[in-house]
Amino acid sequence: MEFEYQKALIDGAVQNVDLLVSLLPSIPDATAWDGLAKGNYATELLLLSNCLTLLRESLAAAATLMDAAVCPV
Amino acid sequence: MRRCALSDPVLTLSGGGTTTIATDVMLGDAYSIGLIGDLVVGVSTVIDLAASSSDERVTVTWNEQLFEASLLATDSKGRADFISARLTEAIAAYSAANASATGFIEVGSDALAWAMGSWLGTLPLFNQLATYAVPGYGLMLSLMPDVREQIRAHFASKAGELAPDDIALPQWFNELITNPLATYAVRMAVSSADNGLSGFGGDPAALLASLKEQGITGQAAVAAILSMWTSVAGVLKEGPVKVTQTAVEPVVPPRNNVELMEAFPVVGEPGQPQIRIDTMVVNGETRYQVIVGGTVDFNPIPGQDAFDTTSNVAAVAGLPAGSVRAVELAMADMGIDADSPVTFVGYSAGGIVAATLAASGDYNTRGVVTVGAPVGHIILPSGVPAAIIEHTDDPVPALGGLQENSEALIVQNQAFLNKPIPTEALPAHRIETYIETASAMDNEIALELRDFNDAFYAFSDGANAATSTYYYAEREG
Repeated sequence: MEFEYQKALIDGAVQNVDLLVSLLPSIPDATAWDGLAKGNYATELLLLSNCLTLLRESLAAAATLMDAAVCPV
Repeated sequence: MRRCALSDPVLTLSGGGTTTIATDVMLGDAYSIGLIGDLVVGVSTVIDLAASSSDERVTVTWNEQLFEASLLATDSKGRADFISARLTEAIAAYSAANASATGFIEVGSDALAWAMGSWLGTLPLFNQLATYAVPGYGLMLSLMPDVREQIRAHFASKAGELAPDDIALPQWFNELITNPLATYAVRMAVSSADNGLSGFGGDPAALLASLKEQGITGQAAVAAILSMWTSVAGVLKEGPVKVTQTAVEPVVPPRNNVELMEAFPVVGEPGQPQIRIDTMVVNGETRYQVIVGGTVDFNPIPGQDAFDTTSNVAAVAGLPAGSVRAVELAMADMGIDADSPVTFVGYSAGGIVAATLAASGDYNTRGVVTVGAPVGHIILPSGVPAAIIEHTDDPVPALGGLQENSEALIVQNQAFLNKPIPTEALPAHRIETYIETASAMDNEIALELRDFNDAFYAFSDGANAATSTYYYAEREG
């Protein structure tokens, strides 16, 4: 597989994760939701948000490394 | 029940044939998070593809970075699936709890009403009343015309036409009833009224049993008994009605909920038309929209106007109310028959008329909307766009008892949530207040409302040469 194509895939993945982050619901009033969600919904949502943020950072770092490989400074 | 938090004011939607009761926010969140779980799988696939590269420029660091990303994608997928599943469980549990709670309250209220009536019936005074009051009252009034006339004169002297704006309520009372808890209490009391009367024993119970055999129960039965008892003295006594065409004018049919509510005939003075029938041609088909206004005369003694308290009580009882018969006459005058495509729209008492005619099965009903109307006990037809719009702090819809419609879309809004209560009587019932709710409905993005709006207004979409014909309905004799 072409390296440039793979880089384009990773760049696309970064954008996809941006989209996923934008789909995340806002964190609701935990008092109102905890009982209904049988767990701390707000905390779970926060963990998912953090996970997606780290995923994005990780992919962006990979893309940066690829940039450096394609166009070495 | 669905709460649509994306608008201001906050509308609560229920019915529409749905069995799941959950907030829109919860459903929306469950969908979004489920989507995240599905889409992150695509990200994982991309990472795996990129990590499989054999290009010499691939470095160990890069591979480590992608490996970490792969783990995070898997973790994200697991978390999204977990949250989505828990939310779905919560929605199901909430639905069950809500249904149980409603059922429990309803059964409890009925039982309490029966027990109260039963207890009163054991007291000597009330026992005598139950045994002799009904036949005694009727006999007395029929044998003593003077007494009957005195009762009639008493009510008649109170007012001629008692228009909505003539009614003044103490502000403390206005604030008391402009409250969702108070209106819910009214709803429960109305729905349990027949049980209270049944527990009372004696003739009321016998009358109720007789009505029940005819399929008349709940508040309809109590209204029927009230109508029977009082009509002997000329109070709430039904009679013949007639309609007069007052105007015909070109019109653009309502295209949204605000325009629909602005289309209600302005009533208040005798002689003003209470019925508007829009005629339009759509795709070569002649269609009709019947728009019915609210109560004009609140005097329990029937006067000139057919949209009065007498009609309201009869309509709730399922009896041939003057207002209902008047609209039927107007429709016949327009040439509307059982095959003519027609939609019914009614505000307040007009809502009872609209619901009654739509539910009658006598017309080719294509849609129905009631606004601030006591129609909980009238089952609207299924398979057509139907909406019941009511304010939770408006006691008038509560007079229809507990909501028995499950197919119709029920739109609720607390009109005076965190707002000062105005001094005019029943502020949450006023059409100006409902127009504000209509505006929120037009701007709402909830799927159920968009579907309803699309389906209901498609009826008049593309209409040309539309006219409004107005009718005044009055009592004869």
